[in-house]
Amino acid sequence: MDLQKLTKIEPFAVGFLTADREDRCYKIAYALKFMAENLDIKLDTANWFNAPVHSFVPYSIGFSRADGIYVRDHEKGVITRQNIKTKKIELYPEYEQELNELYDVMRPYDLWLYLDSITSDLEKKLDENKCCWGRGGGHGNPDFLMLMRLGTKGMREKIEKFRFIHKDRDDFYDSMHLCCDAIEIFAKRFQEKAIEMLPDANKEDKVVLNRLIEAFNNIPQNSPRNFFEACQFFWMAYGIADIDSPGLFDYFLGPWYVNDPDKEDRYECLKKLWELFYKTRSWNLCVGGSNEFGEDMSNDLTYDTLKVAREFKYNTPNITMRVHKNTPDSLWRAAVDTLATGIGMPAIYNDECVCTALEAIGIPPSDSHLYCMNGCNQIDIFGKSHMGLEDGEVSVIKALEFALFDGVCKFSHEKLGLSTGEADGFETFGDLMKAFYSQLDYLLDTIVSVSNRYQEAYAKYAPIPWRSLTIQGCIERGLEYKNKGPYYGHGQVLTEGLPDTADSLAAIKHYVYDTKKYTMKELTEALDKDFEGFDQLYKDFKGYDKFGNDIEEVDTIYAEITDHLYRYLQAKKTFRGGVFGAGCSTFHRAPNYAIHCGALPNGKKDNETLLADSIGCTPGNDKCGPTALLNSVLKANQYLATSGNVMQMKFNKAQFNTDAGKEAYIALAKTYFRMGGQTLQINVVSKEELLDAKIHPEKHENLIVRVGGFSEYFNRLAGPLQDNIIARTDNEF
Amino acid sequence: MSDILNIKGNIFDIQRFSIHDGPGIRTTVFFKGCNLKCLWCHNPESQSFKPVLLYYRDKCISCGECAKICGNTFTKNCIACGKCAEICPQKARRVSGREETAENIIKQVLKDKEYYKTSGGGVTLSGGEPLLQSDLCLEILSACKNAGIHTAIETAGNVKWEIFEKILPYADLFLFDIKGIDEENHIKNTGVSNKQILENACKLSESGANILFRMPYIPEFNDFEAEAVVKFAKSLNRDVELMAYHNIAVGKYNALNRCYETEKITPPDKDFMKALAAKLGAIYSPSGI
Repeated sequence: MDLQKLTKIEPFAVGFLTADREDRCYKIAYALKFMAENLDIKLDTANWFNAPVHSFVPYSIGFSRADGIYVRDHEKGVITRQNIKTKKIELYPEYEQELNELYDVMRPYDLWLYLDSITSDLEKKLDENKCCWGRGGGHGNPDFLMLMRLGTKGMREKIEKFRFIHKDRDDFYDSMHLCCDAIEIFAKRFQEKAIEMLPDANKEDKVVLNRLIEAFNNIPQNSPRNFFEACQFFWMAYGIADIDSPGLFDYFLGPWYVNDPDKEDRYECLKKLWELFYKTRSWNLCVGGSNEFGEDMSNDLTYDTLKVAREFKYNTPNITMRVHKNTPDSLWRAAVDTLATGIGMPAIYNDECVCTALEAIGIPPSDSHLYCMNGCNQIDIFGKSHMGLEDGEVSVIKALEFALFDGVCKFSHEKLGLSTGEADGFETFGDLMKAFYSQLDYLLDTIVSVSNRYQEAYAKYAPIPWRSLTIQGCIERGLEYKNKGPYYGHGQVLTEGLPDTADSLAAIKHYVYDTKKYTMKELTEALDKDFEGFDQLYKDFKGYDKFGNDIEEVDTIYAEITDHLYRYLQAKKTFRGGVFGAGCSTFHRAPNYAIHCGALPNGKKDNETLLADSIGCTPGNDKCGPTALLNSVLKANQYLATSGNVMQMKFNKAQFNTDAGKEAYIALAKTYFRMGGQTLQINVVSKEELLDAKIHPEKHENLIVRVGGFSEYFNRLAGPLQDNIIARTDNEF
Repeated sequence: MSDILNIKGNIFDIQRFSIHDGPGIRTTVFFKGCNLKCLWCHNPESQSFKPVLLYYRDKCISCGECAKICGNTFTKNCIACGKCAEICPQKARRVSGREETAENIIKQVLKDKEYYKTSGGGVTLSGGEPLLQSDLCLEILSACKNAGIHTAIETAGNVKWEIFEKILPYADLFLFDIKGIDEENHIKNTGVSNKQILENACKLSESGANILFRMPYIPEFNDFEAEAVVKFAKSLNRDVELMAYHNIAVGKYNALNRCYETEKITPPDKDFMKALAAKLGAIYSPSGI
């Protein structure tokens, strides 16, 4: 096969196959360098800052992927591993034969095929029926600060220093050098391109091109000299890192921002960066927070980030703001003003809760205070961890379904759970809980087992050399990012439907065991028949006290399940050398999980799609206002949630936008955090606006709604999810 | 203590996270029963001491379930027992008003103690006219005071001075409604004279209590008195808040099958209210009545 022919079309694969060594990490780093040398470089002066990923028009290859056939195109949609072959051949029909051959050669390296071969049929079925899965995830936060402070020169010195300690890891350390080569080559080629474009450029472009040429004289070999250079350096490193989450934005860019004397220019740079974040659909950007001594870390960039977010009103990136007891009032006000625009951001996280949680699983305070959000809302240690993100997900409500129907899944009507006996054999509520916990533990065990198998497979098949270079611990230990390199390797499992389960159990306890109004047999029959012919039973169960209203009986069950689940997971070890933690980041997945369970004792009918979309109540159930909802949520120990929660609330726009409304919100959040709350996410919209948007989507194209840690335009949400948002009670002031 | 806490009273709502009934985040307890009958009243269900039935016609599907269990459903003999509301599948019926012990109310109020602490909020007794159930007021206010919670009371002031005297030590703030200075117009609008109200206002002011006067600003009914009300408050060295009329209560009047006298009034414009408040030296209330 003539690989040379495909150099421009599939440079990753060609580089991968022509590498001079067999080590997988080395091969991928080699492919990265090969891409740097061979890909068409496009310089866009309108963007100011340029990076490989979005410059690869029309295609960019996510070269962190070991199989090399994951492609994304921001203009024409995603090319996935399923449609890659046909799509690419469609685009390059003249290379059909070569491409076909190439994909055959690449097949043995395909991670997905391997993962498929190490998963049992039962595990696949549990996944398909939305009971639990443990595929493992991919977000990572490179340490841009380290990279920019050292430059590639400093990085190379660091590599050599540790090569001296780990003498048998030459392949790994050489691949680190290849990564440095790659970014240097990109920079050099960008500079050459700029010089080439200079003569024909107009006046404005000339200014940008000259600045870029000047910048590339210095970076990436050395540390940036001003904010412009810092932005360009960051953007390039970020592009090679496959556009993920910027992380602690004001922490790593702050030093250059604060020291740049040209205040207008630095803000212009920030604006350009912001547009790029939006164009590339970046994930999570974090500002604010304290250090381990409780000192506030906010700077000019913190405020200006919130300002630029207000100005542009984009739905990406997700903005997270960390607060703590010394967060200045001015920053609180800036955050609330940003929320008042209706973009649903920033999501606010409480340092005291998150850091305590992280310290409890062994992360020292100096690092726990470097946490940031990654992806939607998963907790990560900036530049020092591989925390899974997310390793698995469990549907708690499915465990209850299994307990009620002796392990039978009501979606597939197959037996997927354990045999815990027929439900009418449970004489006490305790018996039911015992069966429920057995089923829940079984699901969690499955996740842990699958996830650890996958983590090992990732280490073997899908090393990510660029992250190994930029995430601390890898070079120091001489280990690859996926293979226990980073300092912290904890795992993360997300929970689904916990509030709904608490509601269901509370209703069962009341009607079946306490008042004995119905027998378990009647209940299971009613659920089987989707409440058809059980009108009174339906009314009773649906109308029973719900979680989210500060009602002791229901909240206690919620707290107990949370405690069990979180502690059970924390006792499990990950392949990466940490422990599993739990969190909740339901957002757009909730309706899908709801579809996959049958009728529920909380009054959800078979075809209804309403399921709690955060650790708060099922949308619409909070009838006693925000303080009652928060009190309910606070009953569960949030110090156990090491992987990040979502706590959604919706406020009426007209009321939120008054001074009294903003002050009240700040006081509400501060109180919630003082009492141990982890996070609050706010939607500021009016119900009428949402209802109208459903009917006339064209009129509300700007309407952003925060769905979990994930902000999205309302019009783009699927129908059931729109209902879900609308149903969330307006917390009228 | 347990005897005292057994004091019962009629209330129709406990609303948590109120932010327009005094400073900070508050819990507002709505007392049932009032001795004024203001034509613009936005809580018409609160006027009677007894529970009342609200019936939302537009939700009703005429299924007849309510008539099946009670012969008095649509007659004058209805005592608002609430049985029909319980079974109504459409939730087209709702009873407003319930008897509650002081203990229960206090328990509810204390639940948000932490939020009051941060925001400088507390409890507000509203209504109806809370001072008509002064024993219950006293119990709630004294218990809250003991717990270190800020206390406020909303009143129209039409009660004997002795009641104010009794409450005085336990109320941190009086939100005192003045609906007009001209007696004749006051009787026309509210059904009672304002003599006692204005007297109480003066005495309360002399006693050194913390008072915020509030005037519902109702076009055509009492708007022409705004200047006089402000003047009256100023003579006592107190501030007055102008609360603009709104017609959100129209649904409640329909549900009570009552005529809403002020329904046709156009609610005053925000900017107009702001300008007026500035001109008169009053405080503008963004939330209205």
